[in-house]
Amino acid sequence: MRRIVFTALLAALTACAQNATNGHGTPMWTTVTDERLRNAASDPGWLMYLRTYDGQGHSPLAQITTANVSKLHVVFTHSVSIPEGYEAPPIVNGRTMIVTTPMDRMYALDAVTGKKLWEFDHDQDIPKVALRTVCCDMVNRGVALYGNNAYMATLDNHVIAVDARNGKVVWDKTMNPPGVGYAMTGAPLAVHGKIIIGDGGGEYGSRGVIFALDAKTGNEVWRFYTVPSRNEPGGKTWPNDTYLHGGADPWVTGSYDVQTNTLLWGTGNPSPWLWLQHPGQNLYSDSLVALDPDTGKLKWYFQETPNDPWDYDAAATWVQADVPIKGVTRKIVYEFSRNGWLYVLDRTNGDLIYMRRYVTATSVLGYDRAHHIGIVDEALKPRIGQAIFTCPAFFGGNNWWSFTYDPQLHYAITPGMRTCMTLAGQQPPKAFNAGAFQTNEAFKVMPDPKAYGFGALQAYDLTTGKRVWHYETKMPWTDGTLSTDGGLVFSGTPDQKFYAFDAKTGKVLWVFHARSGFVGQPMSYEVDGKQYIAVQSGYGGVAPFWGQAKVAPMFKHIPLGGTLYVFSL
Amino acid sequence: MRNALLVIVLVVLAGIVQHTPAPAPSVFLPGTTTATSPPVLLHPPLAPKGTLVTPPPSMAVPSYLPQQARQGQIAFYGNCAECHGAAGEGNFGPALITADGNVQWQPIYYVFSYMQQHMPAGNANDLKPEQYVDIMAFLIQAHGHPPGKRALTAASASGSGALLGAQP
Repeated sequence: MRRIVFTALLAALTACAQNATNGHGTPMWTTVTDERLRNAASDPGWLMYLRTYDGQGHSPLAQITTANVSKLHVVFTHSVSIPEGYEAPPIVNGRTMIVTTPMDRMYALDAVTGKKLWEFDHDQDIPKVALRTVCCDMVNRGVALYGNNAYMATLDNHVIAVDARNGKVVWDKTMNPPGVGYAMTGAPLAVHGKIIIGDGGGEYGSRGVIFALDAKTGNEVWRFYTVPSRNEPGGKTWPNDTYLHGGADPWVTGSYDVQTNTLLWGTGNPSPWLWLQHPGQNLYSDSLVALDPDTGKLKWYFQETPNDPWDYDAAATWVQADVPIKGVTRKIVYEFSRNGWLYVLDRTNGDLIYMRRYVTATSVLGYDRAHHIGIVDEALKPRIGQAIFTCPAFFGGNNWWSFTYDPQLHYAITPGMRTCMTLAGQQPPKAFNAGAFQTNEAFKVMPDPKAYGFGALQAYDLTTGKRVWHYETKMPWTDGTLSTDGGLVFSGTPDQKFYAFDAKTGKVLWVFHARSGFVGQPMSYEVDGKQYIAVQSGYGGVAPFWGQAKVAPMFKHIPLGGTLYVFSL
Repeated sequence: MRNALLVIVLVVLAGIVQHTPAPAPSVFLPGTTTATSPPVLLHPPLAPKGTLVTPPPSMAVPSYLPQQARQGQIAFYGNCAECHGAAGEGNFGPALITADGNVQWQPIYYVFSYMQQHMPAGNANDLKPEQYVDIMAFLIQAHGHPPGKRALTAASASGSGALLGAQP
């Protein structure tokens, strides 16, 4: 008996040590439970990819305000030499900050001092063949937290659970072999003890899939193919066996509706781009799919672009909000799509509430609610040997970058790119070649003739759908957005600038010049009553693929390499 | 001690070298793909760069005359209201004019072409060509677009990619 008591005491002491406070109020690490994830909105940290299950990317912290943001300064930095895109938001639980870098490296810092706690590097284990099926730079968009673990998905299709207190591997599962068309770059989402993650590979003949793994063991609980097989519902929208390589990859993190217990996950382009190879509606490409997180069963879908030949993914995280529209509070989910339209849907059933263009958009022309299908300009679908000109270019009006929701103003703030392209169909190869780059369309990106430059940050009032302010730039706007209750919006640009805007007016209040450009996700957290803003600088990702004569020179002199910046007052 | 430091420095340097990843494949540039085996391009695009197959449809809402919309309203009552409701609020057929209607997110050419090909249900293409144009004018007006100085024609309705519903 005494021994049992002693053991219990020891266990309690160990638990205390794990939650050690280092003499401050905030423990280094506190176990992440479902309840904490559901209430992430009131947590001082940043517990998941876009902070909360609704994907709003909004922080209620209000110590840093429009009045004092000009006094922001760097508290600490952390540099990594890999010369590629740094896209992940630092994830903060208690005083532990976990950051991922290109090539699937992960490190943890003390979120107050910047002192390194541990490092976990997967890059040495990635076979070279895996890197051939990564379309747009060797990026990673961060970790999910659950229990005492951090979860990362990798370029060679591993999902790895790492003990967030010491960086030791807990389990490591392989979801797909490397080099056959799949790669994982997104941050997983932890829901009900499951780690949920989608694959990428829409340019390599993949078949899109969302996996749910048991958080404790890594065992697969369910998988949902975003391209149905022949006899499943929707299977007839793909001819013959084209579904086997139909793309529609859900490569960005989805959101989760706690009230209706629904995962809301966006999907990518049908594969290959050459639409003639898979005539049909091509469900569920370029769609939002609503899934039961416990079973992976489809509840409903909304498709933006049927039989898409323009690479207009709907994969960016769809954001949930409760917004008064025409006097009625609607439960909406919205996305600034690659196809140039803002879609506002009823998130309980996927019905379209409204849509509007936020950049020049000529390929997609509308939506037929009665027949549940997007309307496109058929004449702008390139045939073999023909070139068409349309807007936006395949990068999209926005690519995967987040569009934060400010609940005080009901504003959605989105990064934007103003581009057009020519696109020409090419004769496809005779046989399918696993892992080969296959779009079968050739493109040339060009400026939008009507635009000031390539970029803009734009704010839309979701109650009316009207644009309230915009900030135009010569460079494309290639960074995610963060809004705060301090009345601020933070986001960066490729030319090394990190901005703070007045969320209400769009006025620039503060600019920081960083070591490299921005292509990631800013975040905010609080420890011991002090608010911090954190972001990784490190140019790369899809943006350098702009290439080509008219655009490339402006990117030539951007220094590469990653630096984490943490700011406070 | 100094040796130990040197070893550490060397290890760190080696780490940096090893951690330098393979150059990113510029796979989005045709012809420079580093995929396992590049797609076979049997022939390059035939059309010169930038050649338009067809110009995109006009994004402007076409002009119509007030009397066209009035005639259209009469034709609507006579041929459409039974299914779509007298005010276009929907009945057996889908709502057409309410704020949550089915056609407000459809471009005008699409609505016009659908109407010509499929309406009235069961008697498709039963109306006179100018009646379709008039009903289209009525629908454009009912969605909040003011009339203009030129009459709506089958050509101008067919050429408009503008949404039927007025944009905020």
